[in-house]
Amino acid sequence: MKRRTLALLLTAAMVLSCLAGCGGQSEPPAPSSDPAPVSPAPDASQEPGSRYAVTEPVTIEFWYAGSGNEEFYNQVAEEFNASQDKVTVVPVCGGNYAAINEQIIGAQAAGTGLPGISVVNYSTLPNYVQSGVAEPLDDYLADYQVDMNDFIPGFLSVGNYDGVQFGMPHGVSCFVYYYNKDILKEKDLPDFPTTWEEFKTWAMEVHKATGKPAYLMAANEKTVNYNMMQNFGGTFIKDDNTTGLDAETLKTHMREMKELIDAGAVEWSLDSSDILSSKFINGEVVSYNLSCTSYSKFIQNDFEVGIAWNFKSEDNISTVTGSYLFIPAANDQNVKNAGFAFLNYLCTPDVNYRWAKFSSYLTSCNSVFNDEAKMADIYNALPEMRNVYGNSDRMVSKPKTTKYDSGIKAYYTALSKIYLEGADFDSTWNDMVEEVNYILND
Amino acid sequence: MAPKKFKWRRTNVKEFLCVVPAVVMVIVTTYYPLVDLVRISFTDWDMLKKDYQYVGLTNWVWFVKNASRNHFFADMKVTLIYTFFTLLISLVLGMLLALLMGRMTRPFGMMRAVIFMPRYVAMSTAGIIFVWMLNTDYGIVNNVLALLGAQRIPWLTQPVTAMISVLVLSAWHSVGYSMMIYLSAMTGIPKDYYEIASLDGASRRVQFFKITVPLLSPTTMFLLVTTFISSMKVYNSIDVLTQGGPYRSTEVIVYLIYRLAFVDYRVDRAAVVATVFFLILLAVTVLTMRWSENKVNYDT
Repeated sequence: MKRRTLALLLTAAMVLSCLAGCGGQSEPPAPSSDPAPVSPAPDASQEPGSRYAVTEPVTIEFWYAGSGNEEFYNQVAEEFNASQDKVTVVPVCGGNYAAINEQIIGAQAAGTGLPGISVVNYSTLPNYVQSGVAEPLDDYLADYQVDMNDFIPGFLSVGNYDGVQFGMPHGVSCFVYYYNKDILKEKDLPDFPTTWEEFKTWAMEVHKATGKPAYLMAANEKTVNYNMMQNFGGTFIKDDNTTGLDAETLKTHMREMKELIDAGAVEWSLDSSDILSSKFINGEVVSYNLSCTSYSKFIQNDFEVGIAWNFKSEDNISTVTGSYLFIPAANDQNVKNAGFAFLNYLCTPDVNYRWAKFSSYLTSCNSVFNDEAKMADIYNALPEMRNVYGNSDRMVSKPKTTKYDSGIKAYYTALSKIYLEGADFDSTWNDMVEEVNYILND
Repeated sequence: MAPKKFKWRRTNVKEFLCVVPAVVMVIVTTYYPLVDLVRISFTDWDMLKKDYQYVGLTNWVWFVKNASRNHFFADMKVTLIYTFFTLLISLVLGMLLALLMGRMTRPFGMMRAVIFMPRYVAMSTAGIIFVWMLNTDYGIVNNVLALLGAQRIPWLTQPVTAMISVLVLSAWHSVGYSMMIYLSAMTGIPKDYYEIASLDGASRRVQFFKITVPLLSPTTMFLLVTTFISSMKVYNSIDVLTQGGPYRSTEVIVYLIYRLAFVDYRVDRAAVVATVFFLILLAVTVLTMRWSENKVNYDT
């Protein structure tokens, strides 16, 4: 009995020591923070798409997000399938972005069941690039002689890592301020302000006149928090890989925000987004931060809202959010070729324009953006989108680090502790900065 | 007396072959993933890349050095609090409901069905309904409180009330099951015991504590172990109701494992936490079973 126990212990120790000896290799390089997009050089001597042509008939799945888009995607897939005889695209609604990500991870781990082409949330793409899930697209783009200059640079850069394009802009959006025009008109109040100083006065004035919070803050929404932080002078990650969340300007503005919250002029809420939207729609608050894609839903429900761009403080940017198209690298070449053929079709100005009009996602093509007739058509259907497109040069990429989600969560969790739980400002803030630095350097 | 030496006979081989498919299934679906989990904890795999490497004890060192920073202890505390109260509710309320609903008449049958029915509702569906019911401004719970003149409670956005909400959802979902298990066990207790106790002048309360409770101890033991394991592994209700918030006050261990794997893409670290968690569950279950050998009454 003793001998058997000893033998087992020795075997276990040997296994552990073998495993312990296997460590010490380098990490794969992380995507750089903000590379400039590089246009692949087209080869004019070749027929477009000849190098990456689909050689054998193939059926591929296209995973997209969000129910309600079936009509558009089914129609586009039908048109694409009819336009050639090698590729059959089957659009599949994969649920929300998180659900699609989980399915991609599962299929990638299993080594089977990947789609030919899929959408991916902008904040997940860095992980796909770092782990080699997404196929580099430069050679395909060059082979198809895609005019990269036709894409709005800020949108394109989100899918670009170290000068290599991995994702193409598709369901691109950004967060803007929606305000209830009826309430402001009824009380003869001014429109949504354009600077932080004006905002503070406006919020108090609106609250005084209506008894309602002038602004509803989605405390758990990472993009809204990031935009506000950046516009208040904070930096999520600096060049030395530490956080700039300890910036004094940011702290000063956030202290001012606390005063507005304490006065009832701003509501800082941990409720889920559907409940917050209900509050705004029911007129319980005057303004709210949401993706510009929500605008078409407001229009469909005859809810007259105004859209305002982020008020200016230290800055007034809004990060590009939404989805990008990518091709799984693990597929065989013929499937990847088929995937790119459909990706290229989705990125054509005509399809992109129809998509923008259908969904109130932003068009990513300059040729659409500069086409007065097409934009007039979009503005006719979605009039307030002028205030979004008018600021397309203020749309920037979020930090391209895989630590973004965890880091920004630590930031906004600390803010809620301060604003809602009465935690001490300085000590909570310092703990948060320490935690974010730990996350960034982990 | 020396044990008989085992000899392979034709019937033994036949019996063995009958068991093989089941054994293979269990090995493939239960034990292989478990062994693989431990293996993954020694790699740098993120579940996405194909070519990962063995990194020795790196992830285990990370776990030991940073357990508090990575919320393991905090999340374990949340898990234990949740488990303790779930056990309390399931066992005590389940037993009381079984006593109350014990009559075998049609109205009582209907009431039993009503109490058991939430078991058929998917936790995610129930969670979405609870999110609306418990909403501070629109929820029916707060509307009733407001009608009664009480203050509205931010059920899901304050640490203590969020945990209470999760516990209420769990109790609503699972207490019917405990009740039914207790009911079936109660019907197995011979009536003679109660008749004799009555003749000896024992009150109902004494009968309950001296006859019912001891004779239900195998059932209690079964429910204790199964509810303990399922509560420690809670995920669905937390995910739908609170997503671990506010301020990680309802973040349980399985949610931490999920976050490491699917948000941080550190499946290697998630494997370490999952392995440690598995060992804790195993140890507690074994200890409970050992303890129960002396305490549980199997006389019925």
